[in-house]
Amino acid sequence: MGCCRSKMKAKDKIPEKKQYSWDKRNNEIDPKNFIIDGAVDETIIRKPGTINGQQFVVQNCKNSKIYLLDHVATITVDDCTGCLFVIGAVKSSIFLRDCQDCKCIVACQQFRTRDCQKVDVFLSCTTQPIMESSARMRFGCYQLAYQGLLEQFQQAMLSVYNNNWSNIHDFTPTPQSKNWKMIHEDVSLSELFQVNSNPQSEQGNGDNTVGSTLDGVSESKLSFKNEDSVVPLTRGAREKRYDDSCLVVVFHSANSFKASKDFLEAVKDKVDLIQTKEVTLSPDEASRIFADSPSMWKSTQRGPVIGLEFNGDDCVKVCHDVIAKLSSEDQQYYASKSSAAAKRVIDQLYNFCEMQMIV
Amino acid sequence: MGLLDLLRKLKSDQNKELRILLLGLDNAGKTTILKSLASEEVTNITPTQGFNVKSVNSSGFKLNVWDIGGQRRIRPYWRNYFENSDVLIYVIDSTDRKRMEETGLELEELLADEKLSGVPLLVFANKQDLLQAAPASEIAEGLNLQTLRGRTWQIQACSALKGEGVQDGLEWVMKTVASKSKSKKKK
Repeated sequence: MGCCRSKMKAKDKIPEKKQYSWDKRNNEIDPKNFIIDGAVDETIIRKPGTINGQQFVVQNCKNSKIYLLDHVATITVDDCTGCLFVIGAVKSSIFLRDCQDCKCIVACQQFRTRDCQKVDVFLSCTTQPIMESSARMRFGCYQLAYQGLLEQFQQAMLSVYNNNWSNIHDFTPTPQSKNWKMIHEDVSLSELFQVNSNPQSEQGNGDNTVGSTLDGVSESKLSFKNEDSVVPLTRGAREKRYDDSCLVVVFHSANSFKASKDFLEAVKDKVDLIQTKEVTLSPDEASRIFADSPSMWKSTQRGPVIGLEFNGDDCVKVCHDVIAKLSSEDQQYYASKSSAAAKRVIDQLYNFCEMQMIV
Repeated sequence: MGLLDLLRKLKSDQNKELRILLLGLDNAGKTTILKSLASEEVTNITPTQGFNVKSVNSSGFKLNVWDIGGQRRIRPYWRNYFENSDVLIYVIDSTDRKRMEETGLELEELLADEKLSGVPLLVFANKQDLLQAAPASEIAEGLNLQTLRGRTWQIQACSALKGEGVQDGLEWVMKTVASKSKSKKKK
């Protein structure tokens, strides 16, 4: 019996030589080119297309500015001090560990930190951002644009409309003080993140796009202005400034992405944008959310809808007025009929989105 | 159906249920493996705050797979889930060179626990699709798996994201459990 068992074990230890995709990996890609290690007082720029969806590692850097203007599979940032990071779109997770005094712009599916101190993060995150054993962290909404960034979001399978930047989960809360807060809304990202290591690049003052001296950035048209940002600036969990709310839903069409942008542009300066969602509604959920507008049910089944939550005086009327101007046969919109109805529907929509995240 | 038959059926059903523990450091890919095992979509997975559990049917067995969050702060709670586990699956982020030692120490601690003594161990060397991944053989060496005594173990390279290698690991689990129950019956 014992003999039989050991024979079986021995066989098990040698798995059959099965070929996996990683066994035939492209050896022309050198992993070393996807690590930045030990940069001090440097400005390092990786142009769009140079990372192209690979994994990236940043470690042991000091007082450096690191621009990864591409989509990335996943990234770890370890043991960095006094650095700036601008990272386009991360398909799965970004993990910051043992970092201090850093500033970071990043869009990702998962955001994680451990053992970090004093890091400012301008974030677009599909899921709930988490932190552990980190303190004096501050969060704000991602604001970034450069040529090709929108396509990079698509390649990383991120939606610019699914952003939970202000909904942080802290695994190690401290009873006395909160380990994180929201960055003051007036903070200018341009001042923080401007590529200005080369004095000549500062010549075009007032212009946030970077001067032509930094090879590879000029043609990318890098901008930190919120009016250029591919991710709309949302107030998130910040205190609401007004009593009235309104939910606008942009139904799927060939142009619904542009239609949402047009809508945001039209209501800009009139109302606050609180939160946005892009989600595919089940027929059941659609009939619940649009209980007061059965004519909309069918429209929800064409594809993912984009939900925009607004807050502002008279915002229901403001939204309906814009819809009257923008809607066409090809593009349908929905807006809440009243502020009270909006609050109910917004809760329903967000609960549904959270349910989608449950494993 | 008589009472005896009913009891017998209950017993055989019980035997067909397996409790599988899915552990590993945070960001290792445990939930992605859980969803991959259940043939579910692996996009938009949120970091686990507590635990996830799923029942997966495989070759006539019902596998109850427990995926427990891996942050340092919540690792002490892992032990609450040890009891009656049939298989331990330990997930490693093969690209996380900084924490190879940490993941090794955690595994060591798990294997030293009495409640898990003799429980078969499957190590998933996950994220093999990524550029910085260490090969499974290197990880096995780093973890000193060769020195394990009194336990059946296997290391399986996989990419939960691409769905590669996960089923191969599951096959090993099923084979191991089947041979274990056979040898039990013989006793």
